[in-house]
Order: sequence, then structure tokens, then C-alpha cells
Amino acid sequence: MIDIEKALTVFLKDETDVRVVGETPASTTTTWVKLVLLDTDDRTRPVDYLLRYFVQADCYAGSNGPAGQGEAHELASAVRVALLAFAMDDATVTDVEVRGPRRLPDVAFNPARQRYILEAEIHVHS
Amino acid sequence: MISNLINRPCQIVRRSDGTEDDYGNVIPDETVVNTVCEFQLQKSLGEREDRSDNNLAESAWVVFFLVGTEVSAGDALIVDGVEYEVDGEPWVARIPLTQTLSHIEASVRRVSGSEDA
Repeated sequence: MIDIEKALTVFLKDETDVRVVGETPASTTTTWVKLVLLDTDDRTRPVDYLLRYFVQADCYAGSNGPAGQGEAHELASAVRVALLAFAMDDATVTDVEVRGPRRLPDVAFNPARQRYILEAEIHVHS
Repeated sequence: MISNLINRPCQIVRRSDGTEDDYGNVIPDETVVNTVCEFQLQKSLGEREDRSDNNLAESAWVVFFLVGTEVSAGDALIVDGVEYEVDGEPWVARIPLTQTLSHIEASVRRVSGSEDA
């Protein structure tokens, strides 16, 4: 089974030069994208041939408060373009559908950290 | 006197109405004011890490200022180079026995990555 989070992390880093992580980083003073696999759908049961992955990308500003909105949006825009162009060497990406971005500040920070969220449905066959 | 105990150098970042950005957000103007304070870790919250997010640390502190210090809920406090957000409205403590004002008290909070200063 394809490790889509790993493949996307490598791809996004190459394409956009952004910081891509799986958890909140130890330093939050520069922008970052948190990638989370939400679900995987097997489209060709019982043969594991065509899989549909649901991925969420949280695009964070590099500082707290409303001033970070532009920075977070710029990051989300770059990530969105990259997601739509996603390709892999050892599997075939047949379709990528991106939803968002939508703005949902992260209130775990004080003041809230501006964040745009993208979701992608990625169809891959081996 | 309590004023003798409030002697730790610090800066209050006073925020006031600033300019509107392209998104309609008012980005406040900031003025840094040097003052003195004393602050202690708040016992009830203290320090903790978000259990779902090990790199995010949260701490809450109680800060004491001299009477007359201008500080409000939207301000920030810098102590030893570390910035904290004022959490809620500061309030003035009064000594009923002498019917005089004692000090100003405020809560401050900081949420940061584990490597952030």
C-alpha cells in the first residue's frame, strides 16, 4: 500500500519549498503545512489496485493574530497548485480533486493563528 | 510595601487601533513601554503540553504591576525577551484596611512551539 503522506510530503517540499510536517513543529515562527491522511477508500475490492486517498493540508501563518492571514493564504495557494499537479514515480495518479482553501484560525494559539485548510481526494493506481 | 517587591524589568506592548489590511482586519499599532512587574506561574494551570500535540506548550502566569501602570486585555508583556499575551482584563487590588490601592494584577498566557523563545 502506498504511503501517500510520505509521497506527498516529498512532492510538496520539492515543488513549493515549504515546510511540510505531520505534527505541529517545535518552532512555529515560520509558515508550515501539516499533512494528515483522513481516510483511504479501496475502489477495486478485493484487489488492492485503485485507491482513493483523502488528505487534509493545514496551511499555517508564521505568527499569531490577524496579520498572518495573507501569509497563510499565499501558502495555501501554492499548496493547492502543487496538489493539483501531484505525480508519483512508482504509481499512477489518475485524478486529484482539491476542496478549499477554507479559513479556520487555530485557537490553540493565543491570539489565534491564521490557517487555511485544503482537502484533496487523490486517486492512485499501482 | 508591595511596591518594593514589584521590581522586575519588563515591557508592556500596548496595542491600539491601527490600520486596516486587505482583509478588513485592523492590524493594531504597537508601542513598547518599559516598566516593572513581578510574575509567578499560575498554580491552577501552570504549564502543560497539549496531549494531542506534543510540541505545543501552554503556560499561564499571574503578573503584578504597580498602581497606575497602564495595561489592558489586548496588550502583551515581555519578560526576559519572552512575550506573553494578557489574558482577560487586569484589575486593581485594594487594601480594605487602609482603603488604599495596592497593586494591579493580570493574567498572562503563552502558547508556543517547544523551541520558540
